Amino acid sequence: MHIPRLLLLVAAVVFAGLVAAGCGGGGGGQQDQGGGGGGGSANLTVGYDQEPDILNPYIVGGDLAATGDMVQGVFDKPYEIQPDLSIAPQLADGDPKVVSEEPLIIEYRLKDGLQFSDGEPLTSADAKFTFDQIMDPNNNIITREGYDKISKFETPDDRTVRITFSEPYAPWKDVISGSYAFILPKHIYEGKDFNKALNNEVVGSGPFKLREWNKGQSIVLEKNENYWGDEPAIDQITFRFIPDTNTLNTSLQSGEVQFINPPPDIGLKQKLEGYQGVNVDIAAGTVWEHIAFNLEKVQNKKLREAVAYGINREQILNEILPGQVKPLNSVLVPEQDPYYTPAWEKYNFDPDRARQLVKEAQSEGADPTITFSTTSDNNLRETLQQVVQQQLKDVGITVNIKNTAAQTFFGEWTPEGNFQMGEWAWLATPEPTLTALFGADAIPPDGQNYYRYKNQEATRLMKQADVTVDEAERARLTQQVQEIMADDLPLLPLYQRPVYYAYDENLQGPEVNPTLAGPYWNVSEWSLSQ
Amino acid sequence: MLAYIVRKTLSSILVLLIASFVLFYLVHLGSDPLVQLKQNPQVSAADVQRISAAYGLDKPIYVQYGIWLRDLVTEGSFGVSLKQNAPVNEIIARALVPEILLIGSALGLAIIIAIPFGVYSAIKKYSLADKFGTFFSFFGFSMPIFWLALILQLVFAVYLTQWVGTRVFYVSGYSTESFVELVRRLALPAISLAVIQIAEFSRFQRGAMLDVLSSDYLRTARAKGLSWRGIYLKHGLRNALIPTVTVVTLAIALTFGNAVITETVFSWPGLGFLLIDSLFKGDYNVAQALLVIFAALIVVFNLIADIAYSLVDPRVRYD
Repeated sequence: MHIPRLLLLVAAVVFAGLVAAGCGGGGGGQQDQGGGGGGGSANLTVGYDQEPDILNPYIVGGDLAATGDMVQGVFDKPYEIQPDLSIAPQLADGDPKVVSEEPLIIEYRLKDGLQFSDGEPLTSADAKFTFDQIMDPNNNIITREGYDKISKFETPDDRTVRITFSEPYAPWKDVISGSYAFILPKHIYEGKDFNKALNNEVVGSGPFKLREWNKGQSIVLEKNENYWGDEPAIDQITFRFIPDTNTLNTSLQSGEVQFINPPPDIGLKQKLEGYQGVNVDIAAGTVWEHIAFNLEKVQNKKLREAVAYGINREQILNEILPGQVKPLNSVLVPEQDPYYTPAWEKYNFDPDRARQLVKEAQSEGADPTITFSTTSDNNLRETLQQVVQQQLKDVGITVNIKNTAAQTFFGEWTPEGNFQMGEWAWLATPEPTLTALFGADAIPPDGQNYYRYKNQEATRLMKQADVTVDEAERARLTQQVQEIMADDLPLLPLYQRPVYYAYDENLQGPEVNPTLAGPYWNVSEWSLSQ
Repeated sequence: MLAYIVRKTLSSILVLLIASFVLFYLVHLGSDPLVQLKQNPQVSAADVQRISAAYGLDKPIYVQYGIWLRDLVTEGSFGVSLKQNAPVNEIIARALVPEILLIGSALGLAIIIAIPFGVYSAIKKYSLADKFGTFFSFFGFSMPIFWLALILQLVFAVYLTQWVGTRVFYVSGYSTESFVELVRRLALPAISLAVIQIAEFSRFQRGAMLDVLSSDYLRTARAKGLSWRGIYLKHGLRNALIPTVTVVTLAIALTFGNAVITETVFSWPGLGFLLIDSLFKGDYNVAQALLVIFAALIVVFNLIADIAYSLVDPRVRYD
């Protein structure tokens, strides 16, 4: 047994060496634990599940949430979306002013003394420059929604921005706080190719600046010494890219990363809460799941009502996400106040009524057999499907499950109407507009009305809401639309997908922001204790 | 021999050409670079059409393949990543060093452990060590790579860290900061990738050695009164290595495939990691390039195995 003994010896020596390296290598080791050791520098490592393709959030390729999250601390917007979906000033000084409703003119003032990370001042000219980039037809912009309705973008002085819309545009707050509202430095990007200049390097005015991007591994941000606001407590943030969800969780458990924002899954809450020294925050998100009908395939309304009454949503949610979410009762989320109304509340679980409706539907010639489709490899959706299948079987509806990959589901099945009943999710934004998803003229390829929902009255009200700047009136119209839709039942809302933040107990500051602003919306306020 | 190599090379090119078209078709069938945009309610259908036209995604698939092949043959270019807006060659080049480090150390580890062990268990047939080897081999063969990876992460990166009080191995990641930092991250993925190879190589080596041990010339060598060392190492091992060379060469190509899972689990930024990432994102050109490279590796290593076989065994002739 000479060989095994020799191997054992070698292994022992190597191991001892590595332990020594772990103890002695204060620099390297400490950095990963982020404890901020003797040097007094606070380094945070975030485990992130997807690497961005590029850092320019405006152009194609920058449409992943990853891009938005990476640059969230680097760029600033005039206003930032808060966890409750309201907006609060970031670069702006005070609330935006509606100068006139006809035509719609809004105005905001920038704070005094703003500057970019290179020390150059940030002025209204930079806002104008950013707007010009968005509208430049040579630039590969993801979407110009809203911006294309701006007829004049004026900068009366260095700190004032005045925007005139060519038509009444109710969701105008999007253009000063949405995903495409970051202000870029004119003096750096002027005259450069916008499709390339911000792909790998970005300069902004936020609390952090880009230090390096190790492709395939990590993005490192460091404190912006020229930040106009309060100095952030964290010196350096490393976003480590860990696409495998299990590895992401284990990395937190082992202390290699101090913050993760994993997608919700069955049993994940209990698992994360079982980790030592880890805090878990969970809140209802702004992405909402629903059961959708293709109205051309499931034409009988009584059958759809039977589905709505036959499904026990409370029970399903207790199965998949116990104690984390409540049934959603509209196509808006409650945070979208004052526009939200719980119009679907009436569809309480009522199996007797469902059975009766199935019989009536059958007498009208409808076949109580429905194919239920969603994206495969999604644990939450597939488990929900099975529970729904069982529940509907009890009321006399046969559900067949037929799923496909997300690419095919959204690339072909939903746009082509190749499904009967489906499950997917939409994102609720602070400025609700229903036309693109439910308008009669938004049926693919003209929009994303995959339901083939055609109600002229509802469409008229949606469109009117989109051009009604007065909030109370717009809320009234939007609520009316929700009531009509709840009656027509093109879909049954299920729940708001929960957002999970799990982090080292030494990290303070994370506050769940389920909106597009993402977890890093207040990263300048985060801090690490020993 | 030369004629054989030429003939084999030509047929390999044909195989690769057909494979590349099939892969091109499958990649386009299975992933859509614009799927993110199509799911985004803020992006209109007109926006999607405009972007699709800008990337030439609206052209028929054989035209897209033709353009792709032309660029590859005339410029050696795999095109531009639709997502990163950067040359695919550049993106792949970045993943090469981590890839070679991982594959090299996994195979190196496997060879260093498996071959001596295979020989040892053949010589000491049915001993305790041999029985342990048999058990381990079946264990290694039947264990899913991702499961082994998860266990290694938990035991050596989580529990060991808690137990020792300092971090020895990392759950995942890559670093070239220093040799020690590299080893602390490389160890677990390399071991998880090596286990199946150790199982395979050692079994194979044991079988080959047993064949040789029962051969006439070895009996003659023993009868001549040669030392055990001379018998086993000079006459025995040398002959028993011949079949192993083939197995190891072919295993190199297959290890690239196994590494896809390992790299994903350990966030190791090699080619497999890149492949999964690009498939998920629908980054056609990157995924296509990697699949063609993997196909080419299999073809090339098959050819090398043929040639190597004839080099180590002069009795083998290809004419």
